[in-house]
Amino acid sequence: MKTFKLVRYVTIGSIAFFIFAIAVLAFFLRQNGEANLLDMAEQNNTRLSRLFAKTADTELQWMFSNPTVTYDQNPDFDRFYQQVQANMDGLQVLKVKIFTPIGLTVFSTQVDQIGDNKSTNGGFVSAMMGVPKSELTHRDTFSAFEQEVEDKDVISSYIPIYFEGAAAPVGVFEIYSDVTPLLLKIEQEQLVVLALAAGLFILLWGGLFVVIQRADKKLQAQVEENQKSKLQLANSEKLASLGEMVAGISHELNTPIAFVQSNLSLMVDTITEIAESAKLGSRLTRLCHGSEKDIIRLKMNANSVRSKTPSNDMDIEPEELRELVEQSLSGITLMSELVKNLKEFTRIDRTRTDSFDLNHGLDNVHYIVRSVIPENVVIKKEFGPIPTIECMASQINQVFLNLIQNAAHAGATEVTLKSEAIDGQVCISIIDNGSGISDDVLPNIFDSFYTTKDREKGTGLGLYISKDIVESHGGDIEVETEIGKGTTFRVWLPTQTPDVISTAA
Amino acid sequence: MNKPTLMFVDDEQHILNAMNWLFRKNYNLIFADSGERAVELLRDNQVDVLVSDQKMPGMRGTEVLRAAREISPSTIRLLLTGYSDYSAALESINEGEVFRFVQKPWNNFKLKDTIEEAVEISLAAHIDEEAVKTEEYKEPEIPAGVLVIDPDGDLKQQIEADLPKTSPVHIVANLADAITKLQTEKIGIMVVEHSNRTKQVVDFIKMMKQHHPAIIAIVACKNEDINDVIDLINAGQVFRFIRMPIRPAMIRMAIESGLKHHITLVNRPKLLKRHKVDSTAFDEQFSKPTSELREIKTGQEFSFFDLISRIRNLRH
Repeated sequence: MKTFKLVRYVTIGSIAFFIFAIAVLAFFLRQNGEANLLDMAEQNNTRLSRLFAKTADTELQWMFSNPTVTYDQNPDFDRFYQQVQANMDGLQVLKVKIFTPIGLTVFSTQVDQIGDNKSTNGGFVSAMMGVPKSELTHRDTFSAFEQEVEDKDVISSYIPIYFEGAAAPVGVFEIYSDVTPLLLKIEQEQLVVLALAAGLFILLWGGLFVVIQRADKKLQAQVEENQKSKLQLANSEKLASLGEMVAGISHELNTPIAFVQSNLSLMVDTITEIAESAKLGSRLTRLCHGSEKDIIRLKMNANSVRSKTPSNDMDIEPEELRELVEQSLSGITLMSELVKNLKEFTRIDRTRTDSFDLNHGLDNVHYIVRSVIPENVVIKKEFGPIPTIECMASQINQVFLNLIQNAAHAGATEVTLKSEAIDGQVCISIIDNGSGISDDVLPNIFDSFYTTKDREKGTGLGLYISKDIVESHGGDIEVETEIGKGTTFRVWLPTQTPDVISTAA
Repeated sequence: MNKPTLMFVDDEQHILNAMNWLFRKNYNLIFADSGERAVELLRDNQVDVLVSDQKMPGMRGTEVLRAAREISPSTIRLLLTGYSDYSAALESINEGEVFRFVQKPWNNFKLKDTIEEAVEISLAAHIDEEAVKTEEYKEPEIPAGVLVIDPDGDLKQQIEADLPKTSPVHIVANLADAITKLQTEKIGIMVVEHSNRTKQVVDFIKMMKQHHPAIIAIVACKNEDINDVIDLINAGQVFRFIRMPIRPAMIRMAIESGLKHHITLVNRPKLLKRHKVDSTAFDEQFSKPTSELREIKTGQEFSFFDLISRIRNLRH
């Protein structure tokens, strides 16, 4: 099972959120700062233009009453220019321009711009309609009053000029003011705010991290616990099937034990009697070889001996002893065969992967499973020629045992074990004529802890473990089923197995 | 010489050979290597005692016993088991009316004894063959009563509705009261709740069967233990063994056929032998000083030997 990486996800998520939030904050701070700056500059420039309008009343009157003539043609230009410069002195004003209502630049502190037509400029148009307009731009170079200045943030405001009593503007001022230091100050303030916000975020995240880390530890512990209990159940499944096997095998062993024991105790009785007869015989022989007197005594006692020993008291004739021994020996052969098969089945002596003949393995599983499943289940073998495969024999045996047991549990009366080689792979089919698997059960059969059997009969791990084993061998399990007709499990195994074989099962 | 006939059913030829050596001298022997063959042979031969293995391909031992009960009711039936499951044991009692369980591996002497005993009973009962088949007897004037021994009160709840209306029913909570009832009432059948699996109850059943074999015992039990079942059949000749919780019709059918059986036994005392209990195993237990004083539920105290003597002295 993959664990949910809580800390990782929370960290990534919160960093992304943090960056986004700071970006949004920075954007709004800047928007707000600039808007405030523009407002402020516009108000300043408006005040300045009013001041102009008052102090240079005469010159302005002249300019606007001759709207088609630029002011530099006026003999008073130099005086006016100086007056403007004096007014600007000490203020952050870089340039002043004056436009007539038709957009003609009648005056500019940058003399070469006098005469330019501004009638299509948006700011001018807006100002002529009575609405001042300002704009913040960054200029790499800018011609100011006296010299070229470099790298400046400049606000230019178009401001309508009114004469007293007039409803419509008579002209437009354009004033450029230098806001570089102001903007710098605003940016510094913004940086402080952003830094503060970032600090708060980090603090918050730190607190969150501690909480999350604890939660994560708890989660990990739960996952481990879960896995542990799974492992325990897997073990109990193994124990349960082991118990079933031991019971079956004990019964299998019991039969030869029973008749060997019976035969041997019969033999003991028979031998005891033979020994008695032999003793009697040797006494007789001694007597026959003895004196005349002894022979007479023998004749005399013959009758009483006859009456004492019944003619045939033995269950077993001496010549039958051989048969008894042979029967008992074949019982012992049965037992040792069982032990040999058990050893082969568990492969306790071999834990690594090994070259393995699956037909031989199926024979072995068949022998073992016979004692575990009901006697009325017929097992048929259809073995084809197959190459040996690299595998953990004990694990593969467990898979086949499990599949055959499942078939028997599903009420099958006939189970066919079929082996064949297809496309360089070995395919083992376990075909039963049991009840089949219904559609609602089928998708879940390989899930862990899924079972349709009684709690005591199944842990729901058999197929889950089987699939795990087969997949770790680089193979696959397929199932084909029809209700009422039976189920076929196909186990596909490659002849070469990936190096790593899990020891999960 | 007319030797009694034994039939052995086992799919393992070695076992049949061993049986042949053990019994060929004193009995006619018929061997069947499968249940199906056994059924065939049973139809054509007079068999006194049948010994069948339980675990065989095809017909299992319990099925052979059930078929034998139909085909040849006078044949005494024994089941040979190695490792046997609980439900197979129940089946053989309830459907096959098994006489004994013989466990593998067996002891030759004990097996011979058991077979000898079975043959004796079978021979004695032969004359009653027809009677066993039809079981037509006149009903006694006073119907035999049913005694329910129910220490926890569980059983009563489950079977109350199914108890017979025609026979008197007595429900008691402990063995002391049970014995009092047995002394004062005419009892044909006992239904004993045995979930606690106390040795006392088992001893009581065995004791009753030994001294009053005509009284039928039905045991109801929650817990499953194969050894208990085998013990109760070999030494208690329990008539039916019912798993709790009890399905509705179950107890009624058991009591009805039990009462019929009781009447048969009373009318044909020879048949009683068929229910003879394994007294050797039983006496061994009683010779042990472990059955000393035991307290019986109501708080009434009396010695177990007292209980035994009271059972022995019951008038019936």
